[in-house]
Amino acid sequence: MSKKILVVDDATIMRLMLKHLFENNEFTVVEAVNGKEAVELYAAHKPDLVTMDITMPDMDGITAVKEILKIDPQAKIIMCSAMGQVDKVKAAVMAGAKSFLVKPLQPERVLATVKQFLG
Amino acid sequence: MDSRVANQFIMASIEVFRKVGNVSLKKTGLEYFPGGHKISTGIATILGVTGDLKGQFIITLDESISLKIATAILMGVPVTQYDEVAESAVCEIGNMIGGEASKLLQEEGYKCDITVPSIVKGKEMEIAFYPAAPLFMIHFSCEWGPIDLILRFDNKPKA
Repeated sequence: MSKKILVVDDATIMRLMLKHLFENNEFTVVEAVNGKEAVELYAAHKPDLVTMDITMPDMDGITAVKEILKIDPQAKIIMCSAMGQVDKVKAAVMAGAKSFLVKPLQPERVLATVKQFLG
Repeated sequence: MDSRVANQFIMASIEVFRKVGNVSLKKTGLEYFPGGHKISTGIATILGVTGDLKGQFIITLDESISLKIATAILMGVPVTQYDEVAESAVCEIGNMIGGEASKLLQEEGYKCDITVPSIVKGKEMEIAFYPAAPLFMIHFSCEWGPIDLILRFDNKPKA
């Protein structure tokens, strides 16, 4: 059975880009448009990995990481954000994110990082 | 406005377009409007800057470039009409430039955040700033066509 990835981003283009990339590499994709929806969908779908934007309406990505880890302390979450300042990276890692990719995303780098955590 | 601030946004724009579409932005002109200026544009994405710097930056471009940005982000999947996907691509390029500029500005000692982008589109549309504030307009050309970067900040240069 293919591994399931939850893609969380408020930008349509980024969800579409990651969906194409993952589906073309045999992953199943579930999409969320903000942190709040991500937490709900994580609980419902139990994905193998999450890609998480930071700046989103309703609930930001850092808060969503903390909420998801309350549901599943083993959750594998990779941040994908345009905001790559040191303090943002630190906040994400402190919240429990496994890795941090800065946009513009390089497809090969995204895939390599995902495969690193999904084996 | 501190020229170092303008330079970080210029460098960020060049870097983001290179990474997204492998296109080379070349600076073709810089205009300074001490009393503000109305901007005529086709599509503009407007982002706020908060923190040590307060103001806005705006990227303006035409519809054909928005389609090329969207196609590039989608790794070659063609986007042929201006729709939600193309609009989202323009917003995202603004986010990426803001993110890269923030990172570079932090290295210069400015700690800032970028607000969520908004987008405006229309023929012969004008954007005006109130109260009027000094404004820099940087003109770029690239393989995709002309792109402008507009910077408007309230701050005096940092000591």
